[in-house]
Amino acid sequence: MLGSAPPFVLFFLGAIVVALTKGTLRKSVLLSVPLLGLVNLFMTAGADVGAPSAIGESVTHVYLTLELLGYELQLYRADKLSLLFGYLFHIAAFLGFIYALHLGDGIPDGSVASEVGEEDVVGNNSAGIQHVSAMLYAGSALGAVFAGDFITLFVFWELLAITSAFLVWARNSDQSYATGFRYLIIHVVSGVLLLSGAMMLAHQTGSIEFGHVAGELHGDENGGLASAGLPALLLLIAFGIKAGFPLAHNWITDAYPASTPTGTVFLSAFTTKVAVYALARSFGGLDELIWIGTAMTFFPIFFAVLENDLRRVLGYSMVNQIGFMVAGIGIGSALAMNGAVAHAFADVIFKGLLFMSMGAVMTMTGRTKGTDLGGLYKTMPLTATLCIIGAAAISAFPLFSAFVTKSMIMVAAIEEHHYIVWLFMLFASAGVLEHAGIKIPFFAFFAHDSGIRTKEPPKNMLTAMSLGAVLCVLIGVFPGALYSLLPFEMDYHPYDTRHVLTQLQLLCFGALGFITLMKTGVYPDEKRAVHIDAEVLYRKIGPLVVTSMGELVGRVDNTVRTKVMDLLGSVLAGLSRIHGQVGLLARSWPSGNMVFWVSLSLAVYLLFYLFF
Amino acid sequence: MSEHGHHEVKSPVGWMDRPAKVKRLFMLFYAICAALFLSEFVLMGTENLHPHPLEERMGFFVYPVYGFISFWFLVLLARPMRTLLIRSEDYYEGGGAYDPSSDPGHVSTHSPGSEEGMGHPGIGDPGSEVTDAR
Repeated sequence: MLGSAPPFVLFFLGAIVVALTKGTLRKSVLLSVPLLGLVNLFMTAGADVGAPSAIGESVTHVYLTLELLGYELQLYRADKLSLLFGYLFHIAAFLGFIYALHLGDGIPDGSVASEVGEEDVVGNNSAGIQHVSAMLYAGSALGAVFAGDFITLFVFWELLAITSAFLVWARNSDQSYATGFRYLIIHVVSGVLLLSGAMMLAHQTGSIEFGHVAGELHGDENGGLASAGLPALLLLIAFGIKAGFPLAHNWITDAYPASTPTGTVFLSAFTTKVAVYALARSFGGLDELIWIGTAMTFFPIFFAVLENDLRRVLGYSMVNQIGFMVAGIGIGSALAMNGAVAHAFADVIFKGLLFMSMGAVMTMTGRTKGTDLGGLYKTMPLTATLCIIGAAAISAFPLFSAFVTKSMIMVAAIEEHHYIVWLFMLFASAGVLEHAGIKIPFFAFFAHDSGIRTKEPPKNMLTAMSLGAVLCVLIGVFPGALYSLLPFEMDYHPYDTRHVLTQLQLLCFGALGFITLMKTGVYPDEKRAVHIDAEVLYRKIGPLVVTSMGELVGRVDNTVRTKVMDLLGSVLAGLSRIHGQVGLLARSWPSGNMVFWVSLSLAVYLLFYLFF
Repeated sequence: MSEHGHHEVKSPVGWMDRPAKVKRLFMLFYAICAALFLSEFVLMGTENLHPHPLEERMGFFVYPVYGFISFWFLVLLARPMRTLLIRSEDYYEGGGAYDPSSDPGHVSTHSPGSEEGMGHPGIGDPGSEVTDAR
């Protein structure tokens, strides 16, 4: 059974067991499911598995198929690309469950979170919902990456949306209810677009295979968006919404800060990375992705400078990091594709670590805003250190993970002569250092002392963060292990004197820039405020337009009604003046009236007779 | 601020409250920067393993200058963006424009004119960067 069981099955069965158990038994199930799944995957990988068919030779194994309406559904298709994400999601689930293990055990000792006012800031009352939906969510992500056809992908695509929405709702606040519904609507729309695109593609090509469709996008040779490109375009938009393309990125910055400390860790691991996987599978080498990705690396860093909520800063950081991956997929060379998926791998771990450290702060203090925090290094030195390791990893310091993954995309950009893109990415790399490398640890743990005195978070949280930190360093120091898992053949060595020195120059002089900005007072203060983004369209302007349209319709309707009623009233009054009891035509009714009409008609008749 | 008395006693002063220590960290960081700047002369002599036409066209000291300028560019562009985009915290719940006087928790994260580590513990302190850099 093991070795050919679709990875999602284990997680879905696990979710049932988790729902039925409590205490230690549930904890052991939470931890053993991802480990058992990993064994299952290793046994799959024991078979000779190769690169996806887009580039290079293809050794793909299909383990489980199903027949539906004449189409063959592939529930478990494994090649090097899907296996890489498979390993990643098992690791992410394992770390996430360690991190969420304390849920249901009561509020951590020494926590001052309960004094903040929000009743269940850590989502302790929704422990069961969080454990079960996180298990289903991880299973759906695995189902999606091992799906061999678009229909199977669609099913897991929607399951991802539904299961993760519960992680947003688990916060149990008015804000999280509203956010959860916005989140769900956006992701269901994405799923509907995916299904429409897949159905149109199946109609045109007769195949529902989840494979490379970038070529379909341009239809004819000259690249015009002919009607032939519509299904591929729908698929691209569906993937793009989940990947946080510009203008569709706000669900990330909306949902991640609204969830519980533990929920956000799961949210940050799966949805966007499934989208990156789907883009890599279907749209590798699509030129448009280079510029979409570059835009994604660029604009969020400005919002991240201004944003007060540190978990929302990490949300913008997420868009920025996915931008690097999307650009890499767009470049499409073997090195760039490898860089994109390797960076996704590294990102899940270091971004998870950063979200975990902010979650630990939130669990213990109830706060995540820069204006409320500071000076926590005194009481949470371990958390602070682990956060700094995550910060160093995302900033791509040598010996940390992003140094060996992001650089592949940068080098590929140069090799393929995308110089302007490279300059933008270099700027965005400095931006990453600013908001994730410096701002997050600095405002939470250093800066001005907020006066909050608390404790380190529960041991399970520290364990999960420590494992994440160890992985960040291991990937950075021994990149060979990760490189050997990458889907495409390449020859790349991240460590040479020039790369190390130039990267350190970029980062340290960027940090020097930060110090000068602080000392001159140019660096903007943290403010208790929001900064409007594209979401203003559907959170403010849209509702405003609908409400004011409603008001306008109401007012017009009201005016017309009044006018018509007035008119009717005056007609009735006029009629009653003539026909009423004392009216001209009613006074001597019926005989006088009769005489009047008879003489009138005689007069008309006479006139006709005379003139015609 | 909510404080737990027994914890407060335990850690009233951190290492960042000691100006001398903070100053030493700053000095170390400046020394690292200086060394990295000078390392450019070493790079001039080495062979570039990944031939990089753009670097060659831009000349030397590209990375330190680019890193420094990027931070200033980022912040100088973000500031006018803020005046344009800032709204009150409850903007999406029916609130409107940002009113600085109704921002009780607004704490200055830097104070112009303060010397490094002097008088303002932790202000402008690059503790995180220095740790990162090592």
